[in-house]
Amino acid sequence: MFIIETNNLNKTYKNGTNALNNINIHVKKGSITGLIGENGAGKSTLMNILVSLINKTSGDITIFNLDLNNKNILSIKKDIGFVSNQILAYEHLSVVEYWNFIGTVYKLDKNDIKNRINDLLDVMDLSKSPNKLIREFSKGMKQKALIGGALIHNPKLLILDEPLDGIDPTSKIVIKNILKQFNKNGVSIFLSAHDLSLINDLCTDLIIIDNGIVKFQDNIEKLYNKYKELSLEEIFIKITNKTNKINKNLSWGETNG
Amino acid sequence: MVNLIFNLMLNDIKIYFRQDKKTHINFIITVLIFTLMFINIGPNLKKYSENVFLLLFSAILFQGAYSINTLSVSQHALNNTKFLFTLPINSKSFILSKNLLTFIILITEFFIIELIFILSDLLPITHITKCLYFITALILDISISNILFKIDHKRDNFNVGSNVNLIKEGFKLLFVLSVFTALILFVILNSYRNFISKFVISIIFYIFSFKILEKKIINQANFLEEIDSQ
Repeated sequence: MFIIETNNLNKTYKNGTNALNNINIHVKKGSITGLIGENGAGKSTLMNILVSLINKTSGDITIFNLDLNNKNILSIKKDIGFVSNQILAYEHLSVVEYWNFIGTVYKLDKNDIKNRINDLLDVMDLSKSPNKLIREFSKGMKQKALIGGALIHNPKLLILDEPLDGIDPTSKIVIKNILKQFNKNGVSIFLSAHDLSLINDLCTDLIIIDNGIVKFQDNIEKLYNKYKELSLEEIFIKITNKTNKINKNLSWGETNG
Repeated sequence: MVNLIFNLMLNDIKIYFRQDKKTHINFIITVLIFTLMFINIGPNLKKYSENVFLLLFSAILFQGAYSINTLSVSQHALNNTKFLFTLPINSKSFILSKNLLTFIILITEFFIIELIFILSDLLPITHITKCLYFITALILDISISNILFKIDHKRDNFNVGSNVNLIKEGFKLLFVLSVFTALILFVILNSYRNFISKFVISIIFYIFSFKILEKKIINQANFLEEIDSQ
């Protein structure tokens, strides 16, 4: 059973850029599905379309078996936690105010909100700065605040666009464990990342996208079985046919020393 | 829904009060200069007090006519709007929170000016009986703000491009605001009669403007894309 399905999804921006070309993806319920691709491959466009920040040009999207349209969008969003690769948050609020606001939007009980905020502060290692404004946070701390905001209402689906970008190694491990724990409790996760170790550590399934076209999607184990003895990086280069690209060098760099 | 609207308004108020110190200092200096000017020239205004009052009221209307635009898609507000649209927040709550906050700001400004004029003996205390007309004008102003936002919801262009662009945008803004302000003053304040009919018309017009804006924002993705592409 799939939690996200797209059928011939296309996105062409007004400047003529074709970001997505007939994308058909299937994210299994209960899976942690990774999405990888080069910069500009269409990952963020796809994720932003799934949360209705960007309009699709054509095609169909189903989330929780509901068509993603004006009628269903609010009920779909009630069960989604989203982290954008831009810092989309009320940055003039403190992290406690920010999580409290999100809890209110999702109509959580006041005591629940309070308890969850205390847990999040502890786990995200933000308990030293609960009243500091988010805009005064470092990139990593901002990211933690956003992840906390996506988790506070215990959603059924997490859509995370480069969630661990800029986060310190210790917090990375903590957040990975939290995501694993959420997944164990039935939360499906769809995440994009440039850090392939994150994909290796977390994902059960993988989608590779290149120039708006899906090049691979399946169970990650199957991928490793097919390309035995290759690392995920090498597999990615092979599938996206970028071998020529990685051999490039700067001529003046070779003359040093 | 009431709780959500209240929270949305509170967050917008926090944006204002948590701006950098420079903005607050600028604001305090402006208020001081205005007060000093007023104290100095105040007694000479007695003859024209009603007109000066209308001039200041026009400034409030100017501010109100682009209020939802400023609160939603200005340079500082756009990311907040995008963030809100990732959450299950319906267009109704979004628009109501912005309109209600605008109304509170405008009416506070109006009463402060009214109070200053009455305390300075520039207007008689009986002027306060005309308050309902001014409130009706504010409702009409917010309705116009909704319609302008529906038609022209592009991001803040004042800091983009050349000085020519700045002048062009400024002139356009001045023209649009002047026309609508004059219209409101003419419709509501040209005579202090038929209050009920004017009030009813402004409420109907507000509901109409609310509905057409709600219809526009219901497709949030499309709406955001239009803002970014303009």
